[in-house]
Amino acid sequence: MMGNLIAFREQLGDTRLAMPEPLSREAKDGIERLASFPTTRDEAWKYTRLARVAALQLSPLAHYQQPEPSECSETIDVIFEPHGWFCAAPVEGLIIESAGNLAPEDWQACTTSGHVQYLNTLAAQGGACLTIKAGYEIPKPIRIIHRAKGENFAMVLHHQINVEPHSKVQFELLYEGQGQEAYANILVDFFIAESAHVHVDKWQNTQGTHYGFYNERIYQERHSTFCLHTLTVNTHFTRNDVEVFSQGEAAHTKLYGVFLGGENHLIDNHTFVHHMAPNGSSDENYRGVMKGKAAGVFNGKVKVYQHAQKINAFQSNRNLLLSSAASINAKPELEIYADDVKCSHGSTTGQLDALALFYLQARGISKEKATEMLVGAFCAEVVESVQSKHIQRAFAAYFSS
Amino acid sequence: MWRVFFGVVMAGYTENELAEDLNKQEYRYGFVSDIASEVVPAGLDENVIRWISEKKQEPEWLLDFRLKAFAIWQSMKEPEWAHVAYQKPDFQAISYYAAPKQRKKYESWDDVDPEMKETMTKLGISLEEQQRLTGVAVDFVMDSVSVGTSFKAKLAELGIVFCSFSEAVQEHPDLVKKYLGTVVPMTDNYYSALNSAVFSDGSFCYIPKGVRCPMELSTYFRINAGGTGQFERTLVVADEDSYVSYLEGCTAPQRDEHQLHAAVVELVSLARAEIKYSTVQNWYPGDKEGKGGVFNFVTKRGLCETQSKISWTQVETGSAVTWKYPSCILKGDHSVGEFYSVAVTNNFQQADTGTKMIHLGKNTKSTIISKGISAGNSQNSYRGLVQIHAQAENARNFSQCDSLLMGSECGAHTFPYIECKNAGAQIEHEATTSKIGEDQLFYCQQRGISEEKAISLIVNGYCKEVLNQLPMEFAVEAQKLLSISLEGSVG
Repeated sequence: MMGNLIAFREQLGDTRLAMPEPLSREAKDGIERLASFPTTRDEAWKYTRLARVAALQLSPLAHYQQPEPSECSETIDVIFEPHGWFCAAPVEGLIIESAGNLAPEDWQACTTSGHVQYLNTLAAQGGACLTIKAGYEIPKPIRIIHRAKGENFAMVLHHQINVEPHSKVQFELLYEGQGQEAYANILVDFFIAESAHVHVDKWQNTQGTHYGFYNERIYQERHSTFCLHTLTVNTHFTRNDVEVFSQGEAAHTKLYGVFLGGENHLIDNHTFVHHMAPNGSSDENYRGVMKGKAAGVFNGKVKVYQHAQKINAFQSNRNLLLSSAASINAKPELEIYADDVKCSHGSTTGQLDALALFYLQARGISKEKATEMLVGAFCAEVVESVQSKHIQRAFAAYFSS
Repeated sequence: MWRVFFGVVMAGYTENELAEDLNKQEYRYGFVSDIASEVVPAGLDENVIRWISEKKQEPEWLLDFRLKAFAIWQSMKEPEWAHVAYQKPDFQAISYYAAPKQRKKYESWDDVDPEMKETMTKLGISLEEQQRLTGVAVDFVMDSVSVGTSFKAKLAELGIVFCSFSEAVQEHPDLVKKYLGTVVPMTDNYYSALNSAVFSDGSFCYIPKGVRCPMELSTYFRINAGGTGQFERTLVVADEDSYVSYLEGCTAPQRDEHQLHAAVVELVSLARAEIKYSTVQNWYPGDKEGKGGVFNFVTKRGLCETQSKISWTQVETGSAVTWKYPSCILKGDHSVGEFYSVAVTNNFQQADTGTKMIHLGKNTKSTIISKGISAGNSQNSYRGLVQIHAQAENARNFSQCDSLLMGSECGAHTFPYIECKNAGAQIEHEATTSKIGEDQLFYCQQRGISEEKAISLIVNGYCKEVLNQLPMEFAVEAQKLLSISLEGSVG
């Protein structure tokens, strides 16, 4: 029996959010049923060991009241730190409020599953609730910044983002800062209404022994589009779960990602796309580069429901292993119950093309520089379509350092 | 007799005979031979195992092996991770041993029970025909005891041992003892533990050093007595520098209650040896409502030493539930593993099949080609593992899993696991799922080919890559099976 989940949940304290009763009950029962942290015998955690997480000693949680103002002219910033949060003045068509102000009925119906989401439901300290009004295009990107700071802290947040019909918005989700023996469990729900368009760029670069669990749940209505870029560099422990419920007809989803790991890092990317209505599409492209003793995981699942005909689902996962102690575990899955579909996936794992390296070296470029160039090119396909200039710059800076 | 002439009449077959076969697509091997069987009462405990062991006059060590496996099995739980749903078999309701009652050894072919001969003729595999015309040595297993082994003398000249498992236990105990359970340990999984405890009979094959087996070795399995499970144990050992091609074909008669088939196949390919193992599986799949049918829970695995090769080819069209992963452990440097599979499911069949390629040695190579076809209300899953261990320098893998869907009620799923711990490895995996292209169908129909025939043509083309790996005779049989299995699935 590994890691007592009930004790872990108790040290996080109770949630400050008024969650709907069925969800709380589901989470409570779930924690009691599981009783301990999942082990590698559990399919969803097959390659990710949680012993270190279970052993974390966390100090009591802070709780987030009303935000203090934050100023930035280029973006609309919502900043979360372990002991407070800051929020920019909203613009026309955008409502920002504290998730603590939401009544149980304001939380849009959704289910929870797995210990990470259960813990979030039971212990979330706060979060932001953003609403993009129908027909508005928000002129500036909205940044939700999570800044780790200090030791032994826990940051358990639940954001809800409602994107009303015919609106358009761009988000940046940032996970930065430094934490020692710290825990983050951040859940973001996107409810994307008819013909709304959402673009999200996600940047993860936390320093120190910071254990991050990040869940995004996306509910898409008809003719909506959702595009997510997940860039994870150099984090000690990161687990991303992206779950898309493509509920409306002709909804389109793009999930792109780059994950670069070094030292003894672990980066685990799980995606799950539910195609529940016809004529939709999904396009996934994840690139992993592992150095040192890093371990990378990619698990991408596509499920096409029985009446969801004419679905076009594509998934590509390519990985580079740059050192002998690094490892990659990939599991691209397809579960198809409709016949008139086009679904495919490809997954490769290998190393840099020796000929290309030689070519560059023959022209006087050092091996390190040549490797950097080739890895840069390998990631470029994903990084180029990131809309956030800030994240592109951060990635380039990380890369050349 | 088509087997004999297929080389000449194949084209004629696909045009005319196919149509004929499609008309009588009821399960053709669904008859029950009326041979009095000696059956142990249903149920499983230590006494039953002792009874089986005594009946077969087994040595002490084998009884110990069985009892140990039984103890392990009792501590295990039935696996539930496969993508199949079925009523779990009641292991206490199964009879674990059934042997045709005639216990005397057959001196000559004439001594064999005429009814049994009749059965074989219906199956189209009479030993005489096989012996005279095709040059294939058949070890025919009816229920659990091998009743006829041919070409033995010829093989013996080369030092090749090809006999029933019980015979091998008596005559070559050292070989059996040395290799039994080395590739599939009894602790491996629930069904391999069960098999290790109660296996009734099976085939044993040993190819000595440097010998190239001159003919295809073949075994036909057939579940016969009602309510009996069949627990086959196959062990093929190819000693250094040898080569063998082994065929396994299955047909089972029509039964209403579910029957359990939990076999274990172990292959050992020593240095520079090569084993080619081909299977055509056509157990009774259940009727159109999903009633009845065989549960096929099989553990197949091969061990490759230095520079050796194991190639699995399978055509799976039968069984109500299939749970089968022929695998290769590439232990030796430069060893090669291959897996070619066509799995067809129709009506309410469920298949969860695939392979495991475990790369341990340097410069090891593996290829996986899997073609799934699902029709009717069936579920067809590919589940595979490619594992590159840290010491496996320069390992190579290529996997391709394609699924074809026919009808909106069926499902096709892919669950590949790729685990890589070596930076020198190169792994490629690709999978596609789609239905038969309307443009392809249209093209064929426009040229006067009926829809049904066009589908048959396209499906055959789709599976060609795998069928090409089968020995000729099997390839034709497989092609025929494919068409029959899919009949009526497209309207």
